[in-house]
Amino acid sequence: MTDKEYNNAVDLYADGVYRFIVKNIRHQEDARDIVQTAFEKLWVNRAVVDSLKIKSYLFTVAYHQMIDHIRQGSKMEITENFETLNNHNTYQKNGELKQLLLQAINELNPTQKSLVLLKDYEGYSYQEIGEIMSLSESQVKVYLHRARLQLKHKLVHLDKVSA
Amino acid sequence: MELNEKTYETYFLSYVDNELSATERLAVERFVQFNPKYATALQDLQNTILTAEHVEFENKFLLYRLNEMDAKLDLNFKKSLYKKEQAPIHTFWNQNMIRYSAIAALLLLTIGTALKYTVNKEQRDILSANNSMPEAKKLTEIKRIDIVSDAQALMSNQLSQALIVKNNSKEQVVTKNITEPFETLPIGVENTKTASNLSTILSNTISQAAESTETLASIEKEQHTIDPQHSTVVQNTYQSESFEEININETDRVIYISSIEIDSDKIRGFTRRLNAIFKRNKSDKQ
Repeated sequence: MTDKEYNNAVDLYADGVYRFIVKNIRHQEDARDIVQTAFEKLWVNRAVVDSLKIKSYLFTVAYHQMIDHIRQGSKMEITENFETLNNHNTYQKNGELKQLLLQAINELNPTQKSLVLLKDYEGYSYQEIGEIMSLSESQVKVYLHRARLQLKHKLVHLDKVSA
Repeated sequence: MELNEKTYETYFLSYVDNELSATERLAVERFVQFNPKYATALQDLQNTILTAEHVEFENKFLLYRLNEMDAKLDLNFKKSLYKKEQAPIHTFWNQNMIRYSAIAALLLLTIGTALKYTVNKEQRDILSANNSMPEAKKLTEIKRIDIVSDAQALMSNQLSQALIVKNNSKEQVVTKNITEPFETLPIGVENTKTASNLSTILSNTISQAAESTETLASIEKEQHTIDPQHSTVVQNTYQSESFEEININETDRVIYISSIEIDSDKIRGFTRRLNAIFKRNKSDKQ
């Protein structure tokens, strides 16, 4: 990987990696630190990283950094919630439904949340998600389906409560 | 796996996750079209999908890597920036010199202080002796000194006159006698007579000196008889050092070495212990 490819990767993937992390841990400064660490590792290992797999490499490194960060548990205080991070929403069918969905996603465990975020935001396949999260394809499928059903039930329940 | 009322949920989930082939997707859409009651179930699952959202990483340029960052300095220029280390100076000799100088200075200071203390003590003793001397004694002392000086002056005068007479070849007679006890010689006396007179003068002078000495002795004797306490003090003024034989048989004796006092009893105990240790070592070796 050349210097130019690296700088292109910054332009292409920095926002996506940051969004994935900040939606998970909900702490902007820590998310920035994790993203910087991911790109630092990419630069250090630029000689061995395939230029076609830069994005998955960045998400993989960032995901494991995030897991370490969550295990430390030192800065898991919620400084902002999903609502404040949705200022740049480009599209949402229903504002109320969106609020309920974000509330339901915050109640998922970190693995389920990461699965949903990687699937919906980045559009990764089960196989790619498995590579990033060190899971098998079938595990990703099962865990993600459980997360969807859990979100569906919560949305229905919250919709009924709010109605 | 066939799409039916039992398997529709799995198909719906895969449909939502966009994991179905085009054929499978079409099959799901037809299934919902022919079974409208499952449309709500599919819609509920589609509601769980997060819509696209843009979150920007601010100051992205901080992540960039520029060629200038990895620019390397010229090796010679880099070396010139470092200060060359000088060979360490061997400070052993200097340290020793300082140490020896300090010891020498300390020794000199100690010796100087001890000497000063000793001299001051002697001066104090003399001053105290003079101060304690009574007025009568002081007068006696002055008188004694005067007599001694008079006797010396007399002897010197007589001797000088005798020499003058001896050197006179024209047989001139000494016309003037300075002191009282001597007789005046007549003019025109013969040489032999003059010589005999000269011898008489010398004998008189010697006898007067003897008398003066006797007077001095008597005064000193008187001094001894009057105040034997102060006589020792006076004696000390002329005889500053006196030596006394150490009585070895005394048990409580103290030896003074300079300004250090050493208790012999303590030394005795220490020497006994040392002797005991040496004897023990000898016996162990044997």
